[in-house]
Amino acid sequence: MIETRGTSARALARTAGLSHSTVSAVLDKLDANPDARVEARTLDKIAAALEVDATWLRTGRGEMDNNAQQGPDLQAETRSAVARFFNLPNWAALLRAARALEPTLPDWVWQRLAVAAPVLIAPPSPPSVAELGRYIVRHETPPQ
Amino acid sequence: MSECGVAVEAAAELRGGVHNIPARLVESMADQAWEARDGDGAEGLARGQKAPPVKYDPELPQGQDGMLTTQAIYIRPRGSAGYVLMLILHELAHWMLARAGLDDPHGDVWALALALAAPLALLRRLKAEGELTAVRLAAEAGMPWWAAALRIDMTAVML
Repeated sequence: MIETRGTSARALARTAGLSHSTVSAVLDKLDANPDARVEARTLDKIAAALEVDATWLRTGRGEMDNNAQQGPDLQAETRSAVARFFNLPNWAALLRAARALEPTLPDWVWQRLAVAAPVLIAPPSPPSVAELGRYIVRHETPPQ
Repeated sequence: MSECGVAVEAAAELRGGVHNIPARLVESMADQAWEARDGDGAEGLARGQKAPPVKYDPELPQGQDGMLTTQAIYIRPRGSAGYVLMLILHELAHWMLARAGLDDPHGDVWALALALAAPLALLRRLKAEGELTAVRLAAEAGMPWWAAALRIDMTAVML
């Protein structure tokens, strides 16, 4: 998966906001045993960085890459194991579509948004995620 | 989605959502937060936890009434004061669980948010007075009636 995404463990760690040693340890563990237990939060961050569906990466079930055009089930989303944006079943597709709408926003904005915890009152869409990206840029300071 | 929609969602999360931590730990975290509070209300609880500052913004993008990032708790100030209280406490609960190194599924988040709104000591006092009703609890804690009813439900086996 890392190779097909044209990235490296180090770049993946940077994007996911994890240490290189953590990502390397997870990859080594899964290489040795694909069924090995890995902390859900870590796998979710890796899924967000790879822009693949978190449930698919964690369990192998469902689609690797959900369709952003499909109307999401808000109740199912908010009852996910961890209620952050990156846990949305279609987050990878939403993020990709939002980034296409706002291609100049820096990576840190999307990374910060991925781990944000919202009280959702409507299903997110690519334009609403793009608007949140612009909001983050206006209101928050970039990482040092 | 209206406040009622959020209430229905909170009830569903409490009853059928993911819970990773025992109820006693939820109560303990809430009690400790009350002991450490720095000022009144939800913002005092947040300050006591050294959580990111609460920022009220009517221009928060559509689709969410609250959002926690690493730098702020953003709240859309709409609806009743009780609803705004629950929004802040919901985001604070996310922050407290994550800071404790715990996952923060919404089942645990809503349980902690309700416990922060009305600590067990308050429920015990009202019960001793024979006044443990959602209406009275809502009035005492400044929380919405739906939240008070859920709080009484979740503590039924402890009181």
